[in-house]
Amino acid sequence: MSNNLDDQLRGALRSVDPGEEFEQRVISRIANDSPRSRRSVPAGFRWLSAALVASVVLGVLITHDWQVRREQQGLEARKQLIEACG
Amino acid sequence: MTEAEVCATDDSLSRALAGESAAFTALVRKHQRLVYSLALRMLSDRHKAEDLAQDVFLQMHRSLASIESDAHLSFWLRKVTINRAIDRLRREPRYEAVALEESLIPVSDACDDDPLLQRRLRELVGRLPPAPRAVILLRYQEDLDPTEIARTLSMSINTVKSHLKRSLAILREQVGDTAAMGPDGTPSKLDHSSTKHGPVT
Repeated sequence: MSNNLDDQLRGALRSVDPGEEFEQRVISRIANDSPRSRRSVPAGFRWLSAALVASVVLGVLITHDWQVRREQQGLEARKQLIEACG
Repeated sequence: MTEAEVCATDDSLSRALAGESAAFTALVRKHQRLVYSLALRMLSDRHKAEDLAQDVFLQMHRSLASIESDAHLSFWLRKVTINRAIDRLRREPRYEAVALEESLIPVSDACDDDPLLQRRLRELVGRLPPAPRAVILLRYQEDLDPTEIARTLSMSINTVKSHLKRSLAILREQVGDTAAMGPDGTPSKLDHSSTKHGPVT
């Protein structure tokens, strides 16, 4: 006979069955858990990645623009030099 | 152990790892009582417990490669279930554990248990703070010793023993009225002698 708190607690906290359909519901959820959602990253990381990509693209554009301007300035200086010598 | 549990042998783990869905289903069947019961006693809500238990098995499916053995799986499931339950309780600070729908709880197998006292004990356990509640559940539901509880909850053994001692004192004190007099007016079966020996050896 249970006659102490330990035994009463063991009786009170006896395991409970979740029901017959439980495993089927688990399997359904796993089936719906697509590989794409499995690979999903936290929103913070997505924002960080987007910011990094945007920074790189902006950097490339600025560098390209700077190179084009420098070439134009070089050509202009060359033209002026030729005109001055001529 | 149920028939389903007997069917799910250690070999289920390796077969599930190899991608055999029937083996994974067997693992779910074998461990569903453990996971669901812990979730239910932690959250005191059947729907939330079912939701959490499903989340745990979903995580188990994704983490199968890191599971080394059946014993490791049981340890992993207890740890993940308790941690998720504690996280959930922290996210819902206003959520107060309430008495379970007692009518839905299976009738006890043993005839000599006091159902009213056990109901009161479940209510009181549900009102303990999350960490002590987890310690009590692992001790009395899962029958783990303090060392195993400490490992599962990443606590020191002294913290586990302290939680056990304090929680049992609270339960003993609060259940006093119920224990002093049974439902029919006769003295209850609750014997305070367990205090002398303590909850753990």
